[in-house]
Amino acid sequence: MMSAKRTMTLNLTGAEMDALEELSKRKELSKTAVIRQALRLYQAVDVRLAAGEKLFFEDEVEKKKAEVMVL
Amino acid sequence: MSVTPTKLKKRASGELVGAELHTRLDLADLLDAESAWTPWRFRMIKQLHQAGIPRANWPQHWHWNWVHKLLSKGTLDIGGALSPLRLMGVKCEDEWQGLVLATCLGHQSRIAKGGMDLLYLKYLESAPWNLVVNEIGQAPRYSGVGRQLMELGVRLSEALDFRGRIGLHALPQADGFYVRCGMTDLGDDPRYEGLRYFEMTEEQARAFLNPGRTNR
Repeated sequence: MMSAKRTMTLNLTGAEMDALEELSKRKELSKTAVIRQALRLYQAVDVRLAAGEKLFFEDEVEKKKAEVMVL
Repeated sequence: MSVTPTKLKKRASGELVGAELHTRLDLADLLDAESAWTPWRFRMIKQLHQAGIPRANWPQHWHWNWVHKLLSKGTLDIGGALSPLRLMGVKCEDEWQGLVLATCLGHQSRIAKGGMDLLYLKYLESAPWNLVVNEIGQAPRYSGVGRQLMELGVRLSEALDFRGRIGLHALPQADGFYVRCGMTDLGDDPRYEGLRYFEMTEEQARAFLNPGRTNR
């Protein structure tokens, strides 16, 4: 189901690696799968922001909506 | 686009015919499907209306328009390599027999602890000629399309490292199908128009792909 793959070396700080390992462990995903998900999310958000849209988180129970500040 | 051969059963003759599972469709494929399905849907609804069948008994998704649904979500990017949306389908005798639209972002398991990701099936539909509509004497042209679409979802979930986990909201007429697929019914979801939410766990996905085998 996946396209042909290419390999790269990734240099991460200790904190970045800790975050990657924590996500990988908690979600039972390989580190590669975590990075892939992050990349998909980043790309999807970036396209919408570039089109002038805003990113929000919504709490339907509390009826609260907060714009996510993207740097 | 990856294409895998499969078989579908012609309901009238019982004959198994060659079909294809497509794992990455684009907007052109969707438009092909809609341009064949929409006239059929409206002919079917006209017959139901003329037969005096109350609207409550019509297929609940008769008004679906996939292109419109995508546009309302702000995107038509379903074929891109990094798109979180994936459109997949079953093709037989040069026509789309069923489609499933899935997203791999923004949905977590409500069963597994720890915020585990799952593949969320936004829409799953068989071609309108594959529906059983007894009120107008319509028998499905092919059977087993829904199950093949579910299998596409489970296999994509596995490829994403989600271990077969799937979630979806079902129209009431489809509840029984998802129960037969072995999914867990988590009840009405007030945040989603009161539709029932179903989830397939890792173990249920294994059982779905290997019916008859005992789980480890």
